[in-house]
Amino acid sequence: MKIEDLNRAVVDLLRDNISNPTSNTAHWVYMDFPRSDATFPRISVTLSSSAINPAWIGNHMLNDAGEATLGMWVITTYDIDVWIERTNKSTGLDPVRGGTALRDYITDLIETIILEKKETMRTVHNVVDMEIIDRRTLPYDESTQLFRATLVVRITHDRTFNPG
Amino acid sequence: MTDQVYKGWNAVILKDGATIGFAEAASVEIATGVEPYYEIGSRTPSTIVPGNQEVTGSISRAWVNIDYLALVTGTGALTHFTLCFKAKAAVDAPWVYCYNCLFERGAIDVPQDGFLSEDYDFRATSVAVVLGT
Repeated sequence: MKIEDLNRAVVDLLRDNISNPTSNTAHWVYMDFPRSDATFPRISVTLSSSAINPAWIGNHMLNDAGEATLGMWVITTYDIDVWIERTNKSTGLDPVRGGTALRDYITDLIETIILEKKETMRTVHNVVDMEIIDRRTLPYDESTQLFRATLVVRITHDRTFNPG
Repeated sequence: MTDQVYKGWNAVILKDGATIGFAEAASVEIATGVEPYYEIGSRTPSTIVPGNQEVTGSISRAWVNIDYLALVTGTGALTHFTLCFKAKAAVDAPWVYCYNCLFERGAIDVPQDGFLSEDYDFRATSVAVVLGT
């Protein structure tokens, strides 16, 4: 699985399973680091590192076409950031959440999805494992009026090459 | 033939002609069992006598099927097979054949946060080291 495909799979996983709890119903999960003039709330997925190592002896891992190719293990780490603007308020939630409460509510939702959808990611995308290895919250940024939390997610998957 | 150095991705392991997939490590050991003969009056061996040849080895691989574990868990006779270790699939590279092999030990490893793997020790009756043709 190429990184580009994994990026899309992670974004789609979040888009399909977490709806925006505010009145803004447009897309809110993006594969980028947001600009300061972006719309909020927003979930950003940023690839922070990708380590690639030989998987097995020999070149016998099978690709989608059933051809034997060189198999590699790829351990890709993503930062999934939750961005909440000071004025964002939830709709349809009791109690109404805003600020740090809304940030932590959404971050909890992402955590749940990441852990509950491991098996789906394995069967659909052949992802071997999906782990949360860190959760950080950053202090309120006065200049941008943003609350932010970061989940660090490590995904283990394979990738095949044809060495010729 | 030009001298070449190889790494693991070049190697191929075959069991009865079919590739053993998902192998992470393998080894073959050939012991000649030589014995030194000392005679009175000498502190060095006067001769070294060839002994029994012992061919053993091991294979570690990801635990993805029952193909190999089934070879050590049967209640009847164990199944013989031939193993071939190649530095690369093409010619002009060292190949090692181990004939009439039996698995003498099989083990699985189930860690909480790692890859599931299986390990096998085998023993062969004879070995041949050839240049691949």
